[in-house]
Amino acid sequence: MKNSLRYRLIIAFLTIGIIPYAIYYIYTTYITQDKILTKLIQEQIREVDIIKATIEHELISVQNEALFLSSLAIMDDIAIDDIDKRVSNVLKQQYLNIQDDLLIFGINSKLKVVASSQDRSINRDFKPKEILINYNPNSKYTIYNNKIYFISKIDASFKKGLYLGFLVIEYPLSNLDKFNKNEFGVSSKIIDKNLKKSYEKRDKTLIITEPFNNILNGYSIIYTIDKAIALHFLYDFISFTIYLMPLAFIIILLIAILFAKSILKPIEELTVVSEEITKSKDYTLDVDIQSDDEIGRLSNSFNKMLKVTHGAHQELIEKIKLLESTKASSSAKSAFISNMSHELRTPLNSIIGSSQYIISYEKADEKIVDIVSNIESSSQYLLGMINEILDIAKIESGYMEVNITKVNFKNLIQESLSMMQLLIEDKNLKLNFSYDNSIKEIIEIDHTICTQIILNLLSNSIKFTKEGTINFDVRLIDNKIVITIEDTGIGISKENLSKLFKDFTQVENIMQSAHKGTGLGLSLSRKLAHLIGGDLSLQSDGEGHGVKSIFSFSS
Amino acid sequence: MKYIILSITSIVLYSNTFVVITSNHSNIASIDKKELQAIYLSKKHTNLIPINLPFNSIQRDSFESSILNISHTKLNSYWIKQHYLGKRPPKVIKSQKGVLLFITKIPNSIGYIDKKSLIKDIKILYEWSDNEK
Repeated sequence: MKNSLRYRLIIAFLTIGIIPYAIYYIYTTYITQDKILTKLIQEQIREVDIIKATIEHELISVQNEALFLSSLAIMDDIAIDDIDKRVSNVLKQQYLNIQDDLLIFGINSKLKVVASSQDRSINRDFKPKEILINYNPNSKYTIYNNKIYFISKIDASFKKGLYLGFLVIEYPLSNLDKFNKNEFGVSSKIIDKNLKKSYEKRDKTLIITEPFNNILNGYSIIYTIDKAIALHFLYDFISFTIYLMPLAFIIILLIAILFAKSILKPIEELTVVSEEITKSKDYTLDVDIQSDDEIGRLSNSFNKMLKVTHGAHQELIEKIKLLESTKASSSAKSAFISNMSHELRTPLNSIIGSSQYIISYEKADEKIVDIVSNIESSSQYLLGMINEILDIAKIESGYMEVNITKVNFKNLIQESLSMMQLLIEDKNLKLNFSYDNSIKEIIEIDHTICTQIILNLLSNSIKFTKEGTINFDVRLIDNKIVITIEDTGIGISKENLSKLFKDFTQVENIMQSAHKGTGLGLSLSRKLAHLIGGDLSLQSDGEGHGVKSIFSFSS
Repeated sequence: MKYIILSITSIVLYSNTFVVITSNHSNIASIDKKELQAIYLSKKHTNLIPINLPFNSIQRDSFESSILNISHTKLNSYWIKQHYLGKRPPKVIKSQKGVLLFITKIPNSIGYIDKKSLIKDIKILYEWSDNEK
């Protein structure tokens, strides 16, 4: 099951589904967090800069306020200790305009408060006195006891260089608390330490510090960002992702299983059908799969293959049936012929016997002997033909028995030659005989069949050769005994050569009339040669060029 | 008798007397009407610092009509012109008390008040009455 396609498909689906999820998760957890923090720091640095600028701007505007107030002509009333309360009124008005919690003092040359935005301060000595005693025209502010004192000298408008007193704005640093931030995990504070401009990431917080210039020189604004709150959303999201993971895994797994199932279903059907076919050998079955994809095509071709196989199967069965019936009829025919020949031979033998008796009868006259001789030779011919037919029928019906014995091969050849000697001499033919002495003296062969083939070939050569020579050659080639009989007879054309070995075929009827023969000789010889595991072939360079017969068998 | 008292009272009420004053420590002993005009209209370079009382006060009305001899409208347009030349009208102090304090504190300053509001250590430089024209 481990190597099954389904398992692999599910694994593939899971991999495709889970890997991006995991990458996404890692990206969110590690990289995004860092990015968000970096962005947060940048944002906060920007905000710190803005807040710092705002604070500085505010302080400068307060300072300008002091300068402005001190330059008013009405400040001349400081000279008369603001007896008409005009300065105080202006200061009160101004105090209402400025929304911060601050105090404005008009102070005379004896450092006594003569006018103020707050009535109860009037007619008291200004405290802290020392900041006025140490007044330096270049520095228009002093920070003392968590308060900024913006100091502006009052000069008389009516007389140049006449100093009347000071205008002082007391600005508590607590006013700057309104710029402190404490929301969404970000808290800011203004501290009276001059910290270097920096930011640092700690485990739980980010800290950004920015020192002030000018008025608040020596102070810094410090931003503390609580990571847990600032990244709250991200952490929520990450935990959401984690909680979602098993669900996503299950969904992907389900999808994978379903998909694998739907993909594999037709393949399984195909398997079931093919197994059924293998079992039942019923090729008429087919697969019912409706789809246009590769599997659809596969099942289509599977169905086609089934049809073709079914057709071929049917054809094969019919052919086998045909073959069986043919075989049956053929053997019936052979049996019939065999019986017939046997039945024919009995009366024929009695005809031959009677004819021979008449011929050898002393009292018979010559004319009758001639006629009876004719009857006898015709009967002999008929008997030969019947014997050959019987042999062919025997071979075909499988009744021909091969009887292999130990034979002196040279003797066999010489016996055969001597049997033909008379005929050769009759026709005045020359016989060239050569024998390869490397052939073993005694070989195992069917004596009768071998003799029959040699005689048949020799008699054919003698029969179809009017004059000339017959070469009879026996030699051993590649452990095979090859007997070649070559004549200078009428020869045979190439087209006829192929017809020669068919049963009952003799080339040209004329030939038949001139040369007596059943036409069964070559066919029978070849069948016999095959029977003893040999071969027989005929070669000719055409009509008039003689024939070369080659009979070979393994020794 | 009744009439006499009534008439004296009415004279006193009616005919207010005003004085031009300066601090005892000032160098100047007296000043005439022309000089006052020059100083208060900023026509003369001087180290004296003139002080006005607020517009619409009896003292200022009287001062403008009796000493400066100029109507209020005219005076206004005069100062508008002078403004562009870089000159400013005299400093205004709201109350006579303030004027007195100013004069005691700032040397060489001059102002005007009701004669009856006078305090010690003040030098009278000039005196006029409402009926004077």
